[in-house]
This record gives sequence, structure tokens and C-alpha cells, in this order.
Amino acid sequence: MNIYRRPSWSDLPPELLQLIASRLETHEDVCQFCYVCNMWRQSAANLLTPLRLHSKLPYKFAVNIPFIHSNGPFIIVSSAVYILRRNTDEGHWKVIYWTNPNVESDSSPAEQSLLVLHRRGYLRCVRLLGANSYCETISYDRRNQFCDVVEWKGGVWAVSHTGRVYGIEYKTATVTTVLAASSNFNDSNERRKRLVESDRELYLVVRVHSPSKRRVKFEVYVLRCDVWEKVTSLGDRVLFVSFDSCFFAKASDLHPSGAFSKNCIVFPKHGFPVTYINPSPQDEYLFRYQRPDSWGLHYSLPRLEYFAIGIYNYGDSCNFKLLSSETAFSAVFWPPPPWVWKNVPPTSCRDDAKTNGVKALEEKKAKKREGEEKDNESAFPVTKKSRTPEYVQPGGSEDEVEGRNIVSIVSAPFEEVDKSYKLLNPLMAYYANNHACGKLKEASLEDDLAAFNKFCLQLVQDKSRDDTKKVLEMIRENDFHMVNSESQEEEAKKNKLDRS
Amino acid sequence: MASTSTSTLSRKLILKSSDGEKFEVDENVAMQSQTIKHMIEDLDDINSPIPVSIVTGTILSKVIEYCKKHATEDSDSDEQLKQWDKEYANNMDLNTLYYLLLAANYMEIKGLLELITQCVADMIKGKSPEEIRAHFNIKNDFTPQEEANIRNENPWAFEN
Repeated sequence: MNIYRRPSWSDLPPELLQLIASRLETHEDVCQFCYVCNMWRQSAANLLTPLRLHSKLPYKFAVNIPFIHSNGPFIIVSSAVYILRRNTDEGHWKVIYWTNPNVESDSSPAEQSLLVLHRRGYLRCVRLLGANSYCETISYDRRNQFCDVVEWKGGVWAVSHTGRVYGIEYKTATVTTVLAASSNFNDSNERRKRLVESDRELYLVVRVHSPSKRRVKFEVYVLRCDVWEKVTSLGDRVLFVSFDSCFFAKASDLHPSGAFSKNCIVFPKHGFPVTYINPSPQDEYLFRYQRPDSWGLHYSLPRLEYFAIGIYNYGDSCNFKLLSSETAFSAVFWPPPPWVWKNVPPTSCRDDAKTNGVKALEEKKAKKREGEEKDNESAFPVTKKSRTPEYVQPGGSEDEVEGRNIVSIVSAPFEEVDKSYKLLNPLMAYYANNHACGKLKEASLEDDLAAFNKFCLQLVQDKSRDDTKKVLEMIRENDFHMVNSESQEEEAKKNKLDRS
Repeated sequence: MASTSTSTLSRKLILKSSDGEKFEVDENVAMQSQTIKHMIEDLDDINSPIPVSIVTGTILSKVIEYCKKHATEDSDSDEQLKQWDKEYANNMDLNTLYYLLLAANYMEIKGLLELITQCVADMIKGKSPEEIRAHFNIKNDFTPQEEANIRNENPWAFEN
């Protein structure tokens, strides 16, 4: 070492540069680091994993999000649920965005796949390889239907009707691990079971058969030592069940004064279809008292039945009531978070086109509200859509807007980490252009498995690994779009009022 | 033969810097450097000076200062030691930090390496690439095309 030589920070050994870069805390700082010079960039490039749909969590970042009024830093602590949908809204498939767990810090783009759960329980793995994308079926034994699929402990797990949990291996897309022996859950109706991941524990939600149609009964199990162990109380927690995902929230977070019931399950009508797809007759009965009045401005919202949400006091076999009768209901749930009514069950999923414009507006409001609430785990999943404006007649000229297949991302839950950080729940929507959509529209593939496979393929062939970029652009565009559309809609509404 | 335990503990080693400066240090001080530890194992004559070939005397003295502090166990609480580390690093100018970093890397002193890299990382935090370049006197050697590519990779990081 020549002491007369000036130190050259750009020529430090790469391992030292990497060591320095690895001590930076935020993704943003690493980005800036990589932007300094070529040498620094090469050294730290493998630390710079692109912001993927599903990144390694917790994912810390600092960025200006227009509607949050704070620059962060923010930390994403929970994973998101993705919904795959056709442009007509008729299909509805839960998607898990799957990256190869073994090549995490590789500088080359990570391998990516989608796991798509058909509502009939068929599970497909879609390999995202640009033009070479392909689709694989995941099966076990001779049956191949799954009730639910979640990410847990760094892997992907699916549950069957019997309560068995199947670990799915990335490379082969086959079942490699089987956890939990099958159990008798006393549900002769074979209702769809749900998996919930919370605090690194895996839970199973079973709506068990009850002899009286007035009574609801749920059982929640936690996986301990390879066995489903019944949970006697949810404690301070509330379990939210939407059509695609479940999550726990703390009752005290939902309402600071404790007005929100704890130890209960909030679930939508037909949230637990019988034999995968059939509406439950019991739900028709239970939710019959749902009145428009209880939702206030019902006329501005989609069809009434979408808001049929029940609340069940866990462990008490006869304590069922409509969520709207909950004391803290209006404080927590007004305007109704879109996950309540957007992810409608397949049996009643046709939107009233006239309400769509208003829906977008409601979404915006709901979004704001979510920012104010301090619900740690609650992910109010929203599928944001490119929809027809209010004044366009159904079957009219909306094709231009709808001429694409839509992959909607149901909100990524963001957790409030520190009191100084504002909670946020930015709604992410991702419109994936699909050139094949014209053909798809003609085909009636609501229940057609072959077409379903084909659809998955067509979807991925149009997108490649540029996904990330697209998503980011879409998110930004959408924020813009939201602001504009709100004022337009308000104007349209005003005009309408003036006319009448 | 006064081979008491104290005498074995205070066995002295001589470290020789790249510019020929010699430092006599206790063995347990020098042994914090993995590199020196390995050298001693291969050494027949413990009394001959151990060459620390790429580290100058100025820097070596700083390294020894750090090692001495960290060799005397139990004298300070963790917190006091952290405070000392902080002041130690803060008193270094950027050039010294640079050579200390190389020295810590060469001599394989884990604690010092962690301290210096953290100190440098703290300087980088929250700065824009331009500010980082100015601070470390680094030239921007990206072509405009490369720069555009980088921005595309992560638009969020460059929004403000």
C-alpha cells in the first residue's frame, strides 16, 4: 500500500463493497449505492433484487406515495393474495406468485411461476418463461382437488378436503411433503376449508355441519407437531374470511376502545361453498335479514347480497349475527371495504354495470379509510378494475376498456411498524394486456378446464419477466387515473342530479 | 525459567509495517487478526518480526489501538465498548477509514471490519448517488444508456 496514493473508493475490492452495501438498511439505499459507479454496481447488484410482486419480506422501502402524505420508510410485512380474473369478471382464481426459493440472491432474474387455484379445486402451476411458458397440473393420489393454497414457512402448501396439507416443491411442481393426517371434521357437506398463516403458524378454518339451519359453527385448528389441534379461543383476534384469503386482525386494532368483538370470525355469505362451488342453502337463510338500510347509501353500491357479511362468536354455536349489527361496525366498516363485495362468489358474481363508476369512487374512499385505521393484519383485499363508466349502457361500447385480461392484485397488507410511520394499504392493480383476449371472450370457459389451462398459458405468453416493470408502471398510472376518475365521476354524478 | 502463567499471557510479538515500522504487542492483542494468528502457527521463531506487508505504520498503529481495546476483556461493558468504537471510527478521516478498511480486511479482524463498513454505510445512507460520489470523490463512469437502464430497473428509487 502506497500511502501517497490517493484512496480510490471506486476501486475497493468487490467483497468489501458488497459488505458495505449489505449494511444498508433500505432497498432504496442499495439502489442509490448501485447507481454510484460501475464498480459499486457490480459489487452490489446481487443485493438489488428487483421489487417483485412477491418479494422477500419484510421488505423495507421509502418512497413517496401520493395519497399517504408521508415518505416512509414503510415496511411490507405480509404477503399479498393475487386474484386471476378474466375480463368479464366471471372467472375468479386465487393466484400465488411463486418465486424459486433456491435462487433468491442470484443476480439473474429469479425464476417465477404462478400457482392458480381453480374454484373447483384444481391447482395449476404456470411457469413464467416468456414465450416458453407452460402450465403443469398439481395432483396428489388420484384426486387432484385442493381447498386452499397458502404460503407458509417459505414454501407453498395446499390443503385437501380431508385436512391433509401438501407441500409443493418448486422445481418439480409436485407434492413432496404431506403434513397432518386426514381428520374427520364433522362436515358432511364438504364445505371448502381455508388455510390461514399467522405468526408463522398455520391454521385451518372449518365450517362444520350444524343440525339447525339457524346455527353456525366454525372450528379453527392450528398445525402442531403434524396434527391439527383445535383452537379453543382466538383471544383478542378477529378472523376475517373473504372469498380468497383469510387473515387475523386484533380487535383492539380495529377499534381502539375495544368496541369491536374479539374472538370472532367475520365471513361473507357463501364464503364456504359446498363441494367447492355450490351455494349454501343455510347461508340463504342466515343472511335473509340483510336490509339495504343498514348500509346507508345502498343505492350507490353494488347488489345488496354482496354485503352479506356475518359475524360469528367463536366457540359459541348459536351466536351468529350480521356484521352490520356490530357496535363498532360503522366506525370500522364504513364505507364497506371492497374485499367485502368485490370478490364475489362465483354463484353471484355478475356486477351491475351501472354501479361500476360509483364503485370505483367507493374504492377510493375505502382506501383512504384503510390508511386511517390501525389494523395490523387486516388486508382489505381489493381488486381494482378497469371498468365501464356509470353512464355507459351494459353491453355497450365498453369493449375497448375491457379488451384485456385483468390480473388484479388483492391488496398487500402493510403493517404499521412504528407510531411515526403512517399505516398504508396502497391498492395495487395490475392490468396485464393479453392479445388473446378476443378469442377468450368468445369462448365460454367458465367451467371448462381445458380452456382454463389455455387461458393460463395465453396469459403468461404475453408477459415475460418484465412483469416487475409493468407492475410498477401500472401502479403509478393507476394512482394518476384514480385522481382523475374521481373528479370525472363526481362531475357525472352532479350532472345527473342536475338533470333530475 | 520464570514460566508463570502471566508470562505466557504477555508473550510479545513484533509486527512490522510495510514501511518498516515495528510494533511490539501482546500476543492476545495480535491474535485478534486471523491473518496473524495463522502466520504465528507457521512461524518457527516467535521473536522475529511478523511482516504486515500492505499496512503502513500509521494505519497499523490505529489497528493496534483497536485490538488493544478489544483484547482487554471484561474491563468495559458492551455499551462502553460500543461507545468507544463509535468515537474511534468518528475520529478517522475518510482516507484513514479507507486504509483501515483494507487493513481490517487483509488482517481479518472481524470486529474492525464490521465497524468500518458500518461507518461507511452510515455515510451512504439517505444520500443520492450524486452526493455519494461527491463525498467519496468517485467519478460517474456510466454511459447515458447504462444510466437509463438503471433508472428503469427501479423507478421508485429515483422518483424524488
